[in-house]
Amino acid sequence: MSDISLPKQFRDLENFVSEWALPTEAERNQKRRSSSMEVLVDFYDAVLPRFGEILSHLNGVPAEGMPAEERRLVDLGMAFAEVSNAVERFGQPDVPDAIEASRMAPIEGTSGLVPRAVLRNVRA
Amino acid sequence: MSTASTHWSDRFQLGTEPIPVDSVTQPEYFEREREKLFRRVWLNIGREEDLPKTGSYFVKDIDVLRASLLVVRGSDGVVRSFHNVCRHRGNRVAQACSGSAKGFACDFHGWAYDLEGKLVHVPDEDQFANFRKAEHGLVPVATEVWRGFIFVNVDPERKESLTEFLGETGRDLEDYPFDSMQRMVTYVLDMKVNWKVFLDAFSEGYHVPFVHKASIPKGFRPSDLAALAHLPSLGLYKRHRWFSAPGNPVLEATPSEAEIVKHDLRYTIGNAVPAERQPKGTNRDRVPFWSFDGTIVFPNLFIGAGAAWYWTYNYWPLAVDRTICEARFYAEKPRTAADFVGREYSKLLYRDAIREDMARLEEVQQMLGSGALKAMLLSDQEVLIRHNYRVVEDYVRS
Repeated sequence: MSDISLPKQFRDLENFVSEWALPTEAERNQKRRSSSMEVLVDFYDAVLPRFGEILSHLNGVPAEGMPAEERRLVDLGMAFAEVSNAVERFGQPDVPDAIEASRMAPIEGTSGLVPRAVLRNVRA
Repeated sequence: MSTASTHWSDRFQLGTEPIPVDSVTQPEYFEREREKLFRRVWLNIGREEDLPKTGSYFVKDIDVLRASLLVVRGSDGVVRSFHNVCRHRGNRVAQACSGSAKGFACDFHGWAYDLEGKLVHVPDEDQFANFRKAEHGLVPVATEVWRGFIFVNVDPERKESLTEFLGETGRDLEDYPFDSMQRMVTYVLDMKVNWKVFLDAFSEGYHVPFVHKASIPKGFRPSDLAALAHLPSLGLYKRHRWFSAPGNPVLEATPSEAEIVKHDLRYTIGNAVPAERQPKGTNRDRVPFWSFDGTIVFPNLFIGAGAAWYWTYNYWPLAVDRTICEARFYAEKPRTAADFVGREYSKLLYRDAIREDMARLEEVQQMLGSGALKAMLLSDQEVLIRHNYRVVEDYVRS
């Protein structure tokens, strides 16, 4: 990985990048569910005071062709969306009284077609 | 006896009787649904954007029809469907789940079909007596599109076009910005649940304060003080139905949601959307605290249409007590990098909330299967459920 990571005004969050700025929902959700509350709250407490600033900054960047630094900041913001549910709503890493996450594995992206291999994996 | 509200059931003349449990537990009833309902109706099978260009195709195996369908965009741009069965001796023609093709060749004896289903090549053709290729194209399946949703009907003796089948619901969601939305994710659930029990769970708001007490404790109600929210508006047609869901105008959000609200309120879930931010085609009765519209295109499509997102459920029954549900979440195409974060926030709250919904369903099915109850009781707020059982019963008895 190059030395350049987050946009420079967010370099204070650099320590969280390698663990949290993950490119897929499946990975971010897995990271959330496998982390302790202490780890989640640590990340939440660091990002929450910057979340408005993150959104303001990203709002000035067109969606098409965003630089790698902003892409990482988006990934970090999406991880924060995962973690905020755990911290603010559930008080635990995963959703209580809910169907197991493994039974709702995401097929990410614009293709909604369901490969037969996926069907085999989710069979009740 | 208390003075009960029977506003909706009176208005739609559906009565107030309990609903017999047999229709969600008896295999014989399911077999009648298979023959008299699912084989006769139009079913949503995908969206137009699944077939972006000429030659784009997907294969859909539909257990309840005991069929595999091949859906393809032809050289003329028209979406067609065929039984995915070679006219020679019945092998599957398209083996892949989806892709882009110039035509389809059976891998058993090499029979080849073009994108319009016409049989174009048969190896050693002169060994077949009295054979005319033109008579042996792929078996077509009626296919039509509404609001970008592709529907199929496998009944060779069908009496209705899709437009006739949709009836009044065909005029709903007009001008809703489906075209500016983009699919974000598909979740596939294989559940030990009858398909109607599945649909019931998303046909009322009565469950919200109980099932979603952790995820969305103050959403989908017109104020913080309302413990229970009533559906402010709904409609029941011959087969299909819709409702408007209430939303909370007091944006007493969590700390992270407060920032999302500042960025774009429409990315929240369960909050009231101000009239000027409500998309075309929604909230037809202009209810004051609106969050989304639910449209149920009977029997297998649910559309939840919000201000910057919509979601769908497709129900595919496998047995009386087993159903595949495909849940898809769509959101406006991002204009800025911040929209990626905003729409992810919507999607994840939706996902975590439906994991709560799903947890109840298999237990309900198991308990109904115990035989302890002969009937289910429905309130006036559950009139859409009552309507569904009525429509199913009409088909099964036809």
